[in-house]
Amino acid sequence: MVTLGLRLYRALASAFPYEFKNAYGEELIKTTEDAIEEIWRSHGVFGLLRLLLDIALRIPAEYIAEMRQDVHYGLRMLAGSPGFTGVALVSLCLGICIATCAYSELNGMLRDLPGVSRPGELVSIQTPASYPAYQRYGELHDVFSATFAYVAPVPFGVSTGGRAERTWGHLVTPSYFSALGVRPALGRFFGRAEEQPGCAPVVVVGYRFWQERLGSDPAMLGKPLRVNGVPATIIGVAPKDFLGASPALFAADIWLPVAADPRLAPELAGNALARRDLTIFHVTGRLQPGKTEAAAEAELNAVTQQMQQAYGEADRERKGTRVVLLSGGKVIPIRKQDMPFFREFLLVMGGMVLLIACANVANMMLARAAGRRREIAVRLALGAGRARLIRQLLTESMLLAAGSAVLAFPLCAWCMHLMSQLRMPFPIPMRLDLNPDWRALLFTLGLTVITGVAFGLAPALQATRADLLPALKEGGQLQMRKFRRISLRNALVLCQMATSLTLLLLTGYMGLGIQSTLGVQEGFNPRNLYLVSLDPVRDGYSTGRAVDFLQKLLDRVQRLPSVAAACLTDTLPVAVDGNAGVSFSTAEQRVEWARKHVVGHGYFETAGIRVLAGRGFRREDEKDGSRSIVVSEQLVRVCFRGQQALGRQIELSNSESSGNYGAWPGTFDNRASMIGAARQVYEIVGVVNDVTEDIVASKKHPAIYFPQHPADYAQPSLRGVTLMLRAKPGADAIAGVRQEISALDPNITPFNARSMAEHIAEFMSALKGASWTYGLLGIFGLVLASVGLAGVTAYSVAQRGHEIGIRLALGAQRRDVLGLVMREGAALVFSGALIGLAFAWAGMRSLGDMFAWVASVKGADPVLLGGAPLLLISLALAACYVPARKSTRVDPMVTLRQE
Amino acid sequence: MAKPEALLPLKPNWFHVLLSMADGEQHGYGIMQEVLKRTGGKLRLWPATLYGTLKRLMDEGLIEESGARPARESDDVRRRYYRLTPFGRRVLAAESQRLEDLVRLIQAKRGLAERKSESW
Repeated sequence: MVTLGLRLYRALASAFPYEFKNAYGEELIKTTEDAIEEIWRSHGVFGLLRLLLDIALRIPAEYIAEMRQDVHYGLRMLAGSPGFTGVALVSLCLGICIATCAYSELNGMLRDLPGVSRPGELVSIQTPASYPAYQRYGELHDVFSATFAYVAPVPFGVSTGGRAERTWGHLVTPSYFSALGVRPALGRFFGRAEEQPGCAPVVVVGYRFWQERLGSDPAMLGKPLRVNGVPATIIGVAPKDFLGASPALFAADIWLPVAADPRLAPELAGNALARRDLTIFHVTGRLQPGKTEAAAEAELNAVTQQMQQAYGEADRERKGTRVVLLSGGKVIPIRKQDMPFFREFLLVMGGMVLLIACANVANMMLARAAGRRREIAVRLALGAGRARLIRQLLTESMLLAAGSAVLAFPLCAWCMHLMSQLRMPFPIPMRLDLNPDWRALLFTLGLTVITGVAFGLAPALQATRADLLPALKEGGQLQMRKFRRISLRNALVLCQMATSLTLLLLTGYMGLGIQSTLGVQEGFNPRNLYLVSLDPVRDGYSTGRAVDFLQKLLDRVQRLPSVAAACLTDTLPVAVDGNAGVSFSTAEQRVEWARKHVVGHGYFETAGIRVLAGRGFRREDEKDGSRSIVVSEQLVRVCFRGQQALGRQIELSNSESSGNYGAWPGTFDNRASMIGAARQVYEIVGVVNDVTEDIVASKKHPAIYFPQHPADYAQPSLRGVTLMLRAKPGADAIAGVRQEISALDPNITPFNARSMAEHIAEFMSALKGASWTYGLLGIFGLVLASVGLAGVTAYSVAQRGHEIGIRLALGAQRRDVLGLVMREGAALVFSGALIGLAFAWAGMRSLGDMFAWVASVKGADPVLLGGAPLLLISLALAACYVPARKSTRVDPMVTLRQE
Repeated sequence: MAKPEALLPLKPNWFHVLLSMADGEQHGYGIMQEVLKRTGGKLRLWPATLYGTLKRLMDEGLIEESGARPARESDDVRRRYYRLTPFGRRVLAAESQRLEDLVRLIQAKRGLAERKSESW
């Protein structure tokens, strides 16, 4: 028993840290050998166990003590060189922050739907479908265990406490909540009763709405809520955090059943549930266990094809896939082919910045470690283990990494908070929660460890490999070499130069590309132009009353002394309108696409768009059955080769956007008038000048203006009916309009009152933000690279002080010495720049494909391709020059005396 | 050199180890035995704990290795002898003083309490 205990004890004792073992190991075993018999006699087995427990507890304690010592030592060393510590902390902090931001952004976009059970099983169909098609999909019981459809985004005028507010919601099938697996926080969700058309009006409200608008009052259940002027009974409250099936694109605060009264849901007027051409329903299903997405997609495709053949739809001859499935359980449904962009682009950019930061700090660490060679050699000679020294050096780098992470995470949280606040130029409240969560924190921690090892290990390995003898001798660096070997340090500088240049070029490519296309709005006059939105139908008006009200308001506003001109309009210049387009055939039988505008009379005069021939719209054009249209100059060029267009007939049909107008997610116009595909003949009554109004400057698009019909007032686009007015300079036109509205009917609530300048700024904000981000990234890389190079040159010059001293003593000119030092730096800089150019070229080619829509971004931009390397090279050379010049100030006598 | 007071109060282990060396140098096993005997078997310094303590005391400069060794027949090469440094001796004295003061305080208090209970 005693022998066994002793053997175990010896084995455990060998696990002590090297230094402790070295100093006390044998003695400890000797003492234990002396004591063990007596312990056995007086305590028995318990004594032996206690003995083993003692050593088992002591081993980690020794390691912790050693680590604490390392941390103390490391902190002292770092505090001893505040310059190095400061630069390293800032570099790493920014590097980690940017990488975490990139990750958080990704994380925010790929987050699971909050409040939904088993989100991985949910799939949604990419393009909205008609209600009959949804019903057919729902019958595929071997594919889906549950399905639901919803119309979104839908604006509602909701009054609480005498105050009406535009609130966004969904029109849903009763299966919506049960298929998502959501349980009500209060009351109930929709059931069988809500499937019948003409059922009593009911509404489910969101938790946020219940808190903010209903004062968290449970007694509100069963009470009526005025929605679009109609009282609807509140039957339930959705759980906290649940904002619907698509919270980022169209967050919902209230839900109504699709069988609701058409007054509550003008979107579904005209027997919408029976129409096959009204494809406005987002369809989502929960896959049966074991069903793959590919198999489901194949079955859906087959069913869709059958339907198209049976009902004679227009594109039945089309081959290929009709239905594309997206992950339905994510906050943003992302197509598979778009995933690489989101995942790789962001991570590569963030990773590159972190890589530069790491290379930079590694470089400085190397220089420092080399400066500490003598200290390290002495410790090695005194018997410290190499592993222990490496651990000591790694502790230092970990301290730096941890310190920067502590700064970086809050910084990242702040950046992401700002980004989440960024308003997107959409009429609907798009909202992306990018705030870093525990996953991002975990990512940062992992990143910190990797970073610490990445920039600490190589220098630590190199520093402890030192040959003892030359390092211990004074002036151990006295080796004359024309060029240094390709050392780790040089390789790092090379890598740093290359990545910085790649980053600079890529970010410049994106940033300058975006910048050069920003702010191009020509063809209309945005000065003194104001916009006020209205939606009388959501305030409870009937169609006739709404038309009447808007006409009366327009008349009164036009008479205001502060107003020069005013009109009502559906579309606006400078706006993201998803699929608002029409197609027409040219004389050569080519099918072309034109942007569709629906505008009221007086639009051209108010917006300051010149009528080049014919006339603008008059009041009589707005009658039902009128076929007048106004076209843009570009359309005349494309369609009639610039010949006389007035009085000509043209056949048009609605079509999806094409070319550079990717339909922005969430901007689908769900109105029947916008997605009906029937062809109709129109007559051109006027030609107006082109309006450049895209989010990026691209080639001119033909545009066609349609008069606004009464039906458009009854069911306006998501931004409502806009009253556009040109004010006399210096007049507060919006206040006047508000007064007129409340004088006519205080129940009508205007929203989104703003000037055209504000409208344009909001429209451009996302792109401006993006270009600034890229610019900052590039500058950051540039600064880091220069700092790194300066550090390395300064170090190498300091190391070669003797050599330089001897050269000067032997009669070398300062110029020669300067040339010698600079030559080495320049060799590094130029080869790094070459490698960087090659990488950037490859990167730009792949980016070019992804960013085809940014039409004016050209990879071969001479300013960028020439300017960026030039900037980097001159900065880098300057960074070499400063320490090199200092080296020539060396007094030969002083350096040589140190021998 | 740091002030002895900065290290006070000493951990019990430290105090006992230092006290064992008050009369001269001592090796690890000897310290263990002496502490056991002095405390009447109440405090056993287990070997790994003992050497952990010795290492800390060395690091703090309270003890040092002694060059003197006993006669060859009773010596073992694996054994090392430790003794107090002058600083260690000062720390031990300061701690002893602190404990004495404490005891005096307790006794004074107890005396007061006894007198009080008599007067009741």
